[in-house]
Amino acid sequence: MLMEAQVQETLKHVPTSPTTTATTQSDLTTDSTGEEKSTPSDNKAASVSSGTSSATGRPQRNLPGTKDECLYQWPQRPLESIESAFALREYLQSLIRQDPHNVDLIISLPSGQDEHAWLYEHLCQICLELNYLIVHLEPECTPEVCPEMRAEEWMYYCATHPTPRECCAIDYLTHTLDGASALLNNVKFFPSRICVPEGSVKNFQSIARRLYRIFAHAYFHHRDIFDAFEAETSLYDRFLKLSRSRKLITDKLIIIPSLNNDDDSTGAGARQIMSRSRED
Amino acid sequence: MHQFQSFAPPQPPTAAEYAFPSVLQFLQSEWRRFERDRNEWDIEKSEMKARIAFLEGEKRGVDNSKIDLMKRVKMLEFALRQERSKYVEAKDDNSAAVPAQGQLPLAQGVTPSHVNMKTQNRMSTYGQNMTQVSPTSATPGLDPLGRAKSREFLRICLQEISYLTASVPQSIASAMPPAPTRLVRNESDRRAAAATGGRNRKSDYYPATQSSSAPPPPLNRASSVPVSTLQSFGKGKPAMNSSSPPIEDKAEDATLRQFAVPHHAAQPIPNRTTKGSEESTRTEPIVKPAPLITTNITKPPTEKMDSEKDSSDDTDSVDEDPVTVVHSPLSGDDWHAKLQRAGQQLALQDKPKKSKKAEDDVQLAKDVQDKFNISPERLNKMVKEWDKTKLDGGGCQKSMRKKKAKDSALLDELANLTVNEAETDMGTRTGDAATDEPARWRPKVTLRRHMDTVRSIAFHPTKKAILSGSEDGTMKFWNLETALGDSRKAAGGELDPIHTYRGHTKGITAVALSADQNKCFSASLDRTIRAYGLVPMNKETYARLDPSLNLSTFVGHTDAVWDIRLFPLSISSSQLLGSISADGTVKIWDTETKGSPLKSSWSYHGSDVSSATASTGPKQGPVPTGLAFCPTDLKKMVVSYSNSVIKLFDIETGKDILTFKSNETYDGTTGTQINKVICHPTLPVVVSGHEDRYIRFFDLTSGVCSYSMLTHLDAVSSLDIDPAGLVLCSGGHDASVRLWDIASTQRTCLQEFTGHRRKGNEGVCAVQYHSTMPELLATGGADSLVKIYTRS
Repeated sequence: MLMEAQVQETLKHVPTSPTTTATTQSDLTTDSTGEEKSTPSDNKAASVSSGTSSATGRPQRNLPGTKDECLYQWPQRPLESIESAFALREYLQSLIRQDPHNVDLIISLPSGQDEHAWLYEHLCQICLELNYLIVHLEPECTPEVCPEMRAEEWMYYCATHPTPRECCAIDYLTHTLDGASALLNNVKFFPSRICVPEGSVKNFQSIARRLYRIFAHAYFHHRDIFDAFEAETSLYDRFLKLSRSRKLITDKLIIIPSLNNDDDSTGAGARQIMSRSRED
Repeated sequence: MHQFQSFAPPQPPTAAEYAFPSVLQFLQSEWRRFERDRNEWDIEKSEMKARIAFLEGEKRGVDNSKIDLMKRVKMLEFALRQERSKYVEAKDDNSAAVPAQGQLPLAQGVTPSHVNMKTQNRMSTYGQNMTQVSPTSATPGLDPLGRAKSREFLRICLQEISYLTASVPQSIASAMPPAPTRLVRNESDRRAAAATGGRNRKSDYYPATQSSSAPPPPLNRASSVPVSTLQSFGKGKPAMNSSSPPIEDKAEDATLRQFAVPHHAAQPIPNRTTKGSEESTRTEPIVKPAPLITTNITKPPTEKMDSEKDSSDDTDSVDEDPVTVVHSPLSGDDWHAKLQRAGQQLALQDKPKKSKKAEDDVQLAKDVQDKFNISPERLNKMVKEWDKTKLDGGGCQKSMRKKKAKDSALLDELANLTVNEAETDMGTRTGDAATDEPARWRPKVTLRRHMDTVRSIAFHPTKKAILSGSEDGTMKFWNLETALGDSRKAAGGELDPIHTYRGHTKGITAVALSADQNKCFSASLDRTIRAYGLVPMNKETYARLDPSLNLSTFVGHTDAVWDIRLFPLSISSSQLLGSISADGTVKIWDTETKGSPLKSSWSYHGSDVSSATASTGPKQGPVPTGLAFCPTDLKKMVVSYSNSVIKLFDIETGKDILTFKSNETYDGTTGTQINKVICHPTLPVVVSGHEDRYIRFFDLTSGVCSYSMLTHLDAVSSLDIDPAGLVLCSGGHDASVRLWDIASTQRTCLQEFTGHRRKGNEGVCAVQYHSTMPELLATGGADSLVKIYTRS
């Protein structure tokens, strides 16, 4: 009872209007503004309801302390119901979490969405997941083992530097990935997540072309890792289908033989060692 | 003047006749005159050069003294830490030290009356206080009261320090002005407050900081504005407070002017007084802050000479005037004297000037008397001494050195009078610093390279660099040096991290940075904690990968690791790291050891009963959600649990010491759990951020909730307390960041701003103050961004 006496429960007055913070949360704003002089028990009730911004009655986030098996344990929501600036990304991530191997569903454009924005989210997500491929590659793909960035008979120069350099494979991979992330996060090229400026669309091709080399190197030089990773994530499959359907990569640049054995003709044409430096 | 005279005589003869000899003579005389003038100019030029060199030297000296002071600060900090660890070693868990701690919450409560009483006390019995404080701080732990007092004293020192380090710019000219004005304002405010029958604490403090922040020129000139008006102004616009950059700018301008117009170059005196004070600092290092402020106070008299010319009948005008460089007749004389010594006629002080000075002196006397409450006799004595010094310097062309000695003698005298002012200032500094905070934080740099929610950030403790950990599985290290330095670059520029740490196979939940060990750590949902070497600040983004950066991986948790914290103290051979995991355990790792890094591990019930409950399965028990080491009691740490309980554990033994009464709103679901727990840096206070939007304050020793408040529109995700311990910053999933004045009993919200956009029901996920640069704040959010804020 001592404790109760000391506890003062007040909803703190905040100098600026709460509407600025709660644009995505109009229900909460009204909740709390009407609540300012309420009693503790009311607060408790309101606090419970505050968490129920989703239909399930619980906020859809991983609280600290969430166990592995409980991570992201909330039902798939239709895209229209996601009220956030990152709706497309959330939707995409939830699709992937649901079943990463259902590639066709994942890459299919949700109805009523901008094609380029969807593509942008996909490329971001691929960059994100490629981080993990590099984590797996790192112990094996050392400068000693792979002193040059090669994929089959191709050799690549690292174009992230002012003048293209012959980075070793792991450097090339990380630099390329960092460079792609930087480009995708650059507000100059991609100021909005709702639509992509016309001038920036061409960047997708160069990004995709470079990301492809990461897959290619893994495939030709670290096949075990590639296969294990692919079995877990189907990332390459997703990337390839996305790139092909959106014409991001020309067929002649595809040097990894088709994984599904249905079409093995692509990529056989190019057979000379090339320095691909700054063709983009 | 004399130039004019010499020009006049040759004129008439030339007008009379144009004979060859006369023309020749004229030409010769003209040439001679010209030569003479040129000589003079040369002399003047060299004099100016000498003066520039002198001023530069002085500036360097001041810089050195700043470094010296910083070293001292570091020493003090170190001593404090030593003292704490010593205390921890010595202290028995069950000893009678509890009463000592029980007293501290009082200090934390900081009720207005309490503060006022304290300050008054200080003012009246300063001498007593000082003698009491010094010995106790030297031999702490004698009795609980002394310990509390010494801790209070050290805390004040630290605040002093953080204030000084925050605003000490390059030259003393800019560093000094704020303090005297602040003191003086404080004093006048207090008097005004006393006259009006006492005001609440706020009105006492806001104006103080307003003046301390060197208000913009228009405000300065509004010299006749009554105190009360200013007070209300200060209250209404806390945003005006404490802008150190303007001070610097102004001061720099002033310094420039000093060089450009040497005749107006003013006040070598204050600079010299600094040196004088330094000497006194050396003799009595234990009262370090006092002499420092003494110099501040002694400065106004030298400035007043001039600033009062404008409004000689208004005391307040002087009080407010933070002018750093003014045309000072004294230094002008000084200048002339030097010129004469170099072979120039002495331009004697003209009479009007003298009478003006006399007026000024009278005014000054009144002011000083008012301000320091001293008897007229004493004042007269001081003024006489002061005049003597002036004459010595100006008339008799004594060397600078002698003058300096005189000044410092005067200083000593003044010191006796002004120390209680200094002490008062120290007392109010707690409040000042608090009101310093309302200065608005503004976003300065945005770091956009992460691909997913930024879950954790950590500043480098001494450099402008930050570490960020994201759900995309990467940890990035950013050098903010250039971005924070150049505003244009920061505005449009895209900052790249200097390094991206990869290694985790799932999202990162927490990062930590140890500057002493030159390491950084990341915890992840993939159940591991990884240690990396810190890359040098000048690393290029796309440099070669250095495999030696991957130091070690701490494997041991059997479920997602959700938070890690570094032990606040580190020795070269040992740096403890605490981690919590969804497997229900708290683990302590020694990151420096050669052997097995895992030191200890315990579950909900602590180490004692862990074996007993292990059979029932710790996975069923409550899961830790946050942890924090207690900087005020280094043997202990607090851990928050998913059942909204906070527990206090002994780090060494893992013993469950205390369970906090923190679960009053717990309803059996994780919807009411604690998301974040932190410890106050200087007080035995624990602060928790709850999923049900509460922030609660607990007493570390008793575990009793001392305050509870609803703070955000959605769950509180992150908390941090500023290094001075006066402002709490909270981040919520409502995407807002809020700053709370925790020094006041009301715990008002000082500022609120939208930090990040929401993604997946998450908003702001991390907030962090820079531990040594109080002008830096960073937030990380669900929109994959890290934002750096500065205060202005």
